[in-house]
Amino acid sequence: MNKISLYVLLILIYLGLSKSFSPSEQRTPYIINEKVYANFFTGSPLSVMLVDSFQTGFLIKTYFQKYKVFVGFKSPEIVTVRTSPEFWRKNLKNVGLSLFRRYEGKNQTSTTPLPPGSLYIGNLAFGSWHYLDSGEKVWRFHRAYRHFPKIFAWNEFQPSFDFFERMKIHLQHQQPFYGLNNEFGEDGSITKLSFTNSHDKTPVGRSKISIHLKKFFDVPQWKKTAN
Amino acid sequence: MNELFDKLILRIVFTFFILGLLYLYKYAHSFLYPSTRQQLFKRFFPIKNSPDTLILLSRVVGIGIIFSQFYFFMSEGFLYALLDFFLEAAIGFVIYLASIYILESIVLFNFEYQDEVLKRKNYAYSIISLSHAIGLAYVLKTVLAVANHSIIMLIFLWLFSIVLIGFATKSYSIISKLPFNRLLVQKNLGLAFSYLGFLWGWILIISSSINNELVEIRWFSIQVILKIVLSLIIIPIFRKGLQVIFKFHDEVEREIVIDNKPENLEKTLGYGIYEGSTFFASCFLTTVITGHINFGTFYPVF
Repeated sequence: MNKISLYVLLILIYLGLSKSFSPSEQRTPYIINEKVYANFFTGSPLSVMLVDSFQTGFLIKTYFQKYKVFVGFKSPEIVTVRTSPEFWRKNLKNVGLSLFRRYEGKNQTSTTPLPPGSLYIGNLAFGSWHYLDSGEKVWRFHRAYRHFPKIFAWNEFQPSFDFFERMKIHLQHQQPFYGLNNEFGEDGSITKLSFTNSHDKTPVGRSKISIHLKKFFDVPQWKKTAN
Repeated sequence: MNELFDKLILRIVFTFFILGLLYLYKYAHSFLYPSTRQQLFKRFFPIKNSPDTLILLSRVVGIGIIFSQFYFFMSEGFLYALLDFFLEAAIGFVIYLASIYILESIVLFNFEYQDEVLKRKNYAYSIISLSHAIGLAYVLKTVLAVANHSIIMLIFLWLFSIVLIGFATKSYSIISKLPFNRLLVQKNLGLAFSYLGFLWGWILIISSSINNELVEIRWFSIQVILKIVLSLIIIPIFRKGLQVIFKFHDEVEREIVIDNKPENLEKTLGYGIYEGSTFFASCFLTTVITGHINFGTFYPVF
């Protein structure tokens, strides 16, 4: 019995020491859910985009989220955090969306998943509404902020006034908004062009196994051929 | 052609240097065993005292093991390469002798070299001494490689490994069923083989644990301690596994161990060999688990 308790103690010591000193544990902050965002991310105007969700581990999984944090007029920063499995699963569909925003000056925050850059749309300090030849009203950033669409990975997307109006309704009801035609989010056409989705790796299939096993039959060439 | 000649000269210098160190050992021997001050300066008769031959040659091999991983860095020139080598080799040699002195003071503090080897011709003592000489050389070889030419780090790692080896040797009485002092007095070879397997097993574990890249002292120390704790978890699994798979009968009666009757000697020898070889095998298999598994980028570090 003593031997068993000593053995269990050793295992606990090992796990405890490994956990305390593990680089992933120490260097990767833990965000349990969206309530932590306000204290974790500082500065304004602030937009936190979820750019990737992935998990590591074979038997015991660790869940990670990768954010693109855009504060004020600084260059965006990539931050990787550990998170709870529930929060990770909840946000799988929200890759490519902005999960947290802090409005300039007002210290008002929002955790409703919205398309990236939604913080700036409609704010006349950053851009203005323009009419297209078709009569559609679209948002354009001022010259000083013309690089913003690139940061938000919009590609050719231009937010229309309808988009803005619908976004406001979703924000009011605290419901995720994926765009008028679901352009954003995991299955969104724009998101798919710009973001990787590491959690959605193709399972090991037959064709993959055959490629994988090919290395066991590799034979080096007899003589290096001159180019 | 020039560089071939250079390399040949260096190899010949290295050979003579090692011979020089072996010559120096004769003097060091009289420091290690002051009671036998003139012993190695007289003519040596191996036929008359083979336990002594075993001890002497094990230390010669030990010195060879330490220098089996030396490098000559010629980028700063031939003379600097020689200077670096002489400096490191001399420190390595001194540290090796100091390690032997410390370990023998810890393990064999009840026994005198002169009594046990020169007078009583105790083979068990000489095999234990052999295990120290070879085992310490193996650890020091790793220490020299990890220290990466830094003398400060070499001393830090040496002290660290000596502390670990010291603790390890003290655990022999917990792990083994053979009473160390009593059986060593009786010249019991079973004890010698049991201790040999036990120490070399620990040497493998310690050597594998300290064989990490030394960039940050704190992180290095954590890695070493974690590897040792992990080894302590894995070793009993392998020991028990070997016993179960091969149906080893791991029992020895206390009377058989203590009595010095001739009919019991074979039994204790058998048990000692079994104990030592099982522990060594378990430790070796443990190093395979703790040190050689590469998980690639499956577990990323951010």
